[in-house]
Amino acid sequence: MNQKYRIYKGTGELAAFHEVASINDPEGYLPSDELVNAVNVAITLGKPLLVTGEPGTGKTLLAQSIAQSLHSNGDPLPYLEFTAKTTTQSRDLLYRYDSIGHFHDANIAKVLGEPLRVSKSKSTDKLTDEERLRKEYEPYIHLEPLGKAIQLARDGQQRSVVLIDEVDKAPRDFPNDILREIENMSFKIMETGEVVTADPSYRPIVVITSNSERLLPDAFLRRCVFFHIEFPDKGLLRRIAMSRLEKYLEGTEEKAMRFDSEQLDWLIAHFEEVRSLCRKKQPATAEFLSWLQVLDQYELMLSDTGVRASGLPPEQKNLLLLSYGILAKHKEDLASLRDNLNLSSPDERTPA
Amino acid sequence: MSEPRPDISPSPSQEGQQLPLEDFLDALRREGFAVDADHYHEVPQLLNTLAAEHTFEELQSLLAPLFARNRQEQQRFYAFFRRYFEIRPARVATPPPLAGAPEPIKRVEGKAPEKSKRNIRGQLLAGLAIILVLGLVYTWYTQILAFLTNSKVITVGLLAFLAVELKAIHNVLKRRLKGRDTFWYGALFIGVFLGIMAFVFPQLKSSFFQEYGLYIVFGFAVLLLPLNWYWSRPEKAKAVKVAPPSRLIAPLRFPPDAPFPRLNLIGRTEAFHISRHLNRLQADSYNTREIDIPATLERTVRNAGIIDIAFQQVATRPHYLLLIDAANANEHEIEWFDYLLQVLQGDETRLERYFFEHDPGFCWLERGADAVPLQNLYGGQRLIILSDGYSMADPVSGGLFNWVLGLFSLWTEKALLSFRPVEEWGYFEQQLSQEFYLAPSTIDGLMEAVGYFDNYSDKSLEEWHRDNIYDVLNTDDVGLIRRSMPAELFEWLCACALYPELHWKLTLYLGDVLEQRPNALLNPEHLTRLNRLKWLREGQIPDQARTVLVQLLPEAAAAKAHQALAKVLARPGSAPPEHSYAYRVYRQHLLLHQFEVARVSDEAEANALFRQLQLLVAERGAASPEVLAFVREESRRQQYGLPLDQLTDSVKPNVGLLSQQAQEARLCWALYRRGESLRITDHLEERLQGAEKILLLIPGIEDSKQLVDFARTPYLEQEFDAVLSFEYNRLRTGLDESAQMLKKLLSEAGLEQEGQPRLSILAHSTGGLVARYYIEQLDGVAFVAHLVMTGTPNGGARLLAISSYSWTIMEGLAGFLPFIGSNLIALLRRFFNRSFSVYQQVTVDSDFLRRLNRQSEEVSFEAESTTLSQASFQSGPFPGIPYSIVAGNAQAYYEGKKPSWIERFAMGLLAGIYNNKPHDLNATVESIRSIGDNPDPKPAFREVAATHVSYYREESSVQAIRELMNRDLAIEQPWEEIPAAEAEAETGSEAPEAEAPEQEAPEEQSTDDINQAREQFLKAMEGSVGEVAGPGGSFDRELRAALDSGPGGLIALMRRALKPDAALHSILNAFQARWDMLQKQRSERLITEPQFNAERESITFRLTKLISEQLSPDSFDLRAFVQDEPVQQTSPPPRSNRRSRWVLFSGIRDVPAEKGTTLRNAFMEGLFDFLRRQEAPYFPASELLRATKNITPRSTAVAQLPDGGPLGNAGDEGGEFIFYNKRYLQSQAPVYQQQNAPAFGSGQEPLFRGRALLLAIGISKYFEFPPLLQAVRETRELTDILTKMYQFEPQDTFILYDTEATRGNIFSILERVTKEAGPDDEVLLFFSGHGQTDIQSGQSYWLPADAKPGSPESYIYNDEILRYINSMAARHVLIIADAPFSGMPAVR
Repeated sequence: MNQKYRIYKGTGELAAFHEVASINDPEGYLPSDELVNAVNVAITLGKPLLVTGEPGTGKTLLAQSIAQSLHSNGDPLPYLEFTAKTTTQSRDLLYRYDSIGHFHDANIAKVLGEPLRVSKSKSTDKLTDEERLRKEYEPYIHLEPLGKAIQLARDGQQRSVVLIDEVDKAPRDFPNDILREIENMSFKIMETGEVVTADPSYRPIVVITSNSERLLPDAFLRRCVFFHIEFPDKGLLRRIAMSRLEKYLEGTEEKAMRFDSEQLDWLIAHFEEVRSLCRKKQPATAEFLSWLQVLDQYELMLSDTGVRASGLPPEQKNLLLLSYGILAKHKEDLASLRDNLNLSSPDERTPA
Repeated sequence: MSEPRPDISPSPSQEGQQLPLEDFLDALRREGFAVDADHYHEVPQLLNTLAAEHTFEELQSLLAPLFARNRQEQQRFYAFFRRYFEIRPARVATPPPLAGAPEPIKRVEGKAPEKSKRNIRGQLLAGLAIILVLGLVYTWYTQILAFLTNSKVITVGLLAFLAVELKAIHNVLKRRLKGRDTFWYGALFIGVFLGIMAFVFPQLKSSFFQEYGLYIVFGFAVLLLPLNWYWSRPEKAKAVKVAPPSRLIAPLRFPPDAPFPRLNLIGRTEAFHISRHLNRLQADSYNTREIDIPATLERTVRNAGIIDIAFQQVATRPHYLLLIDAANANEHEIEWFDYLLQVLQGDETRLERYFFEHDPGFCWLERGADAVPLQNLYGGQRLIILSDGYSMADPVSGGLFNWVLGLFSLWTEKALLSFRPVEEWGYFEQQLSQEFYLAPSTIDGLMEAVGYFDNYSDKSLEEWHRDNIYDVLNTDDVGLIRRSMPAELFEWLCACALYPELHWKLTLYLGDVLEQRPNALLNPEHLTRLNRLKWLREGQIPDQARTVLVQLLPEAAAAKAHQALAKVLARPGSAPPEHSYAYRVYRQHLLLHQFEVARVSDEAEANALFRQLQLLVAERGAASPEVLAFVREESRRQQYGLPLDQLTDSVKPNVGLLSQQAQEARLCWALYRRGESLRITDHLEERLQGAEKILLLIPGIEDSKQLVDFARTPYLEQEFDAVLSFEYNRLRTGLDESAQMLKKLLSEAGLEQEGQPRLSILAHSTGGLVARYYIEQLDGVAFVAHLVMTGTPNGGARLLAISSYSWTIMEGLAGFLPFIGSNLIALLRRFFNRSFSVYQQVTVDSDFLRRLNRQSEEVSFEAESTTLSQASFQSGPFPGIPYSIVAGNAQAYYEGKKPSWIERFAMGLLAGIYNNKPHDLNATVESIRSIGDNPDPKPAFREVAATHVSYYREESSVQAIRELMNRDLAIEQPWEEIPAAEAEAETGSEAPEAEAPEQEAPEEQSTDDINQAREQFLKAMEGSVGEVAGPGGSFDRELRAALDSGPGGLIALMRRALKPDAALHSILNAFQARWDMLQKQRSERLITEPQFNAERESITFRLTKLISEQLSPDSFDLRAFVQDEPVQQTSPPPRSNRRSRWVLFSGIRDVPAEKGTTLRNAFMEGLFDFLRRQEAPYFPASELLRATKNITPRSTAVAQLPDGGPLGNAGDEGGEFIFYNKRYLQSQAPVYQQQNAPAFGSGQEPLFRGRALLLAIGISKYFEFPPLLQAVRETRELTDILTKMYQFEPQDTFILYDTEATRGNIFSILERVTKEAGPDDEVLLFFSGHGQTDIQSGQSYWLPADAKPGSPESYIYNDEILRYINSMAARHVLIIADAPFSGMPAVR
């Protein structure tokens, strides 16, 4: 595995992608105590949990981690994810009506003279008009995450975890529109008039994330349990790093971490320095973990952990500088990081 | 809540302690968290299920998610929880410091802005210098040159002025450019100066200058270059000196991480509302519609397959680009808006904010960041500019610069939110609104602007004006401000006044401290109201106002505020560098607030703190007036103060003219101790107790030291019990303001009370004018016994007049240099006018002096337009106070001496300036002597051999001053004694000897006495004037009536009856003043009614007695009272029943006539002049018309309107409007007052019956037309003349000024007059404003204030006016129209 970090040389053959365990694996997720408490509060009170925080602090992962770590009947809870988009409407969270499919089938049925396909039923004769309508529409109604969760709670008698990701991306009225559904865990399918209501004892756990501290309507906030994930302090960061790296090492051939504990401390300290230097976009936990992985792959050997970054030998500095691409996402930030390393000219960073 | 209090604390660490849930929730709510009913059952539920596993401290993280709604609230909740349960943060075991731990990170700072700023300033100054030189060279061949050379006086004066101020100007330059380039700027400056000199000298006609001018220039150069080197030598030599005091260093700096209040100003709901408003979807202008596929399908399905296409509007959210003018906004405005924007940005509003300074063409994101050209920003946004807009307009023409139009052409939707309060909006804002949508810088303004963008609202300037509710806040009047705002808001303002500076964070902090309920005080409305205050806009509350505000602060609030301030100031990092002026301010305030906090709890500490403060004040002077006041007050109360002399702040003499610091006026107690004169300001009242004779010293522009020295010579010290000196800001404050301050201080010192001894005043130079203003205009006459003036330029000082000329020249120059020149000059001029109001007032022929000397007849246009005196004047008789004047003669002074060469040079220059007339260097003897046309009594006058600065040193002049002071000590109050000999003192240079016999004024007059005196008086009068007036004549009748009515009528009658040169006038004046004073006291309820009556009787009695004893028949001129005297000779004007409609108009273009005036002004002045001079009992309007036609033959037009037909007998000659002299009418009182009275004279008609209605309209400020300078002033003057001198009564006068004069108002008043005017009434309509004529249609019209360019329906057509005029029943109507271009001739 020589010169892993210089795979692309302009010519040559590409090796197979070396799969490493994703950092996004919820299994190594380490929540802070406060976060654990907040989740418990939300579950206890049956309220949705609204999570905010800088990008990369693990908001999305939280829901997966909840689903994984809570069991019902020995299995992890079903995990349903919904990502809000700028065009999202409240109905999209519950179910989708495939009008085009319906139209298409209706036309074909007309041409063929056959009845529309309906869901399997024992006898269609005894059905009331309403039930027939429902039967007719049923194949074209696709339940979306929250709808599915509610249905699971009603029919499957099972609790589930629903993630509504990046609610701030949705139009401003979206949070208000889903209030009633989230509070009552019940919705109505307009096309058929059917009302789906969850069994209260199998109430789904709802986690909502928001990137910015955008103003969400008061009424919505009132019905949520709120938690803001702060950037982890040194101790937690260290634990997260350890836990993640273990997970990561499982996927690689070497079973030993290249960094000893002293070096890790140095890296964490250095990362915090970098964080304070980046003025435009500060790197968060996710970037930190990727960075560690990359440094490991680049075979960074810290010769001396007793000095500041600017005091490192040139080749280590160059390695660091290469790895900054993960941390700094703006030209200005990168420049100030380079200044911090006392590397004057960009030419120097080509390793000898 | 009825919820039972649950047992909810199973925490192991806090065994047995119950969590007081309800109290906790209440406290939370008070803290501003949203606590609702759900929480009352959620919290117990949570605690019951989860709390068992957690320590007490972990409860916070269980509860926080319930109450917090954003990150800040989460942190606040933690802090609050810990505070509430008094949990100390556990000492976190910090990991051992890493060997390679990063050191504190140095942030990369932006460019240092100071350097570039200084360069810009240097360039500007250099630019100015170059402009001056170029301008001078350029104008070599222009008329200004001719003007210059023709008036030698001005040129030499300019030279002298420059020479005097050379050092001062140089210092200013040097201070401005304290860097290393000083030498070059100094050299440049000298170069400019020499250039001017070289230019000026050869132009002079005097052969002396022609011959020696170049040598003088050369000599100056030789002299100045080493001087310049000396001035600009390196600062090393002075390095020991303490840093110069400067107010510019803010004493208080808030560290950015300071715990400042949460900004929760804008409620969530409101912010939601605003952002929703801002984010209203906009139809995309390119791609307006698209097919809505789901809707189409659904409709198609419903229609069973028949395709039915549905469309939807494509809409996007708008982008906003916001530019904030960082240079002109105050800190509060900027921070407030910045906060608002943060809230909105935090939401999803697409908004970008940039700052700019003056020029919006370049803006930046944050301070220190690089500037971005505005054009590079996205032009499709909606542009909102937050500025006062002044940098975008030409200060001379008032119009927008062309570059503004170009710069913003990229944006179609643009608004300007103006910092200026709506009530100050005028023409300039009108101009701005042509380019931008204009709204005030409030949330409302922002919303309206967005509404304007969205095309559903367009609030015009008038509507803003109308809806403006905060209208009184552009004032220093604390009372007014207090009444205009709610009590708690005012309390907040008072708390802010505790600290000498205003800071946004400090303001918020104090508001937070004072707040009782969440957001009761800290809310947008309150902040907007505060921001509208003049003080907050200027960033400072004046010290006087601050002192008042501090006193008005309630005790509870004061305690809180003191505590908070002590806390903030004591924080590390707040202190400014030691040895700076700022540090002194900081330190003293810190001690003061700490003392206030400690005095409640810890007396010993309080005493220690106070002692420190006291020492500091004694040592370095008080930082601000309220600190001084506080220290004095406390030392007096605690009885352990330092010696008083140490506590007085030292009054330092002011050295250079430009370097004078702002100084507060005060009244000092002058002491002479150990060979040194001291001026002490405290304990004044106590010291004045029992003082019988008091001398008040008023210095001129010079320091008061010489006066004090003089007054404290043994001789005078024996004469007076107390010597006071009035210290005031002698240069920057106008004379009238100084006088007002003097009045205030005197009344505060208890010297303006009945029974107080009267003051003698000794005044030097301009101090004499202050004293005169106080005596003559501010009712000081009642409290002053005598005024001695030395070297007071009563007629103005020519040397000082020069500055105003030089401005005229500079402005002329600026005309050649567009943009920079005019801006700079306007700025400079504004600065100088403010700095040297005294110069303005003491100029020869200044408005101030003319009016002080009652020379209102001679109106000089130049003086009118260049001086900006705002002093108000009462026109009244001279007071009866004896004046003494000492004038120096410098030539005489130098005669016996051997003057040095420089003195000879100066004398030579001045001889040129003063045309060889005697002078004291500062003003001519003639000017010093001329205190008006008819001073009464004539002042005593001495001419001595002294210069302006040596009055108090020269033996002869000291002698003269003493003599004069001595003479007055014998004179007592004129209404108690009767100075019989006063009248004989006609010769000015002789000091009149007061020989009035000591006559005890009776304390009480019994009614018998009064009646007796009255009878005696009447008899005497009959005896002396009876044969002239005749028994039963009008004089006799009026005399009896006047005796019954009281002193006022009597005095007026006597004044009318006495010959103009009668000696008694002066005595009448004194009585008049006394009587006015009494009435004023009564109207202000200073004296009770019985007191007033007694006084009145006493005055009547004395007056009666005086007149009857002093009377001689020769002094009377009773022709006005005798029936067959002149009144009868002129037959009353023929009264015709015919109606007349006359128009007098100045259909003139505003062309310049000679002497800097215009024909139009000449017309108006001629009109006024004629009206004022007219003595005849009455005269017809045609005479007026003829007179004005003589003045401006080419431009005046007179027309008789086509009449609506005769009223009465056919065949009557056409009558006309007649002006009746009011005094004459009053002498015909019975006839004049009663309608249909018995015929006057031999069965004729009454002279004038009915009413005279005056309708005057003067418009200077138009909404959308350029302003007129004179209109309102002229209208006011005309109204004044007409109501005072002619038959018009104030209650029959209808006046519309400026913005009142809208089209609607004008017509409604016309309507009203038309209805009111009966056949016997007469109407005069005066209009002064813009007029226009439409050449094509021949229609002419006047422009009302709300006229809109290009919309004729908003004008007032002549035809419309004529319709009203013709339909009036009034017999005679006269129109005087001063509307250029209106061409009232349409009626010809």
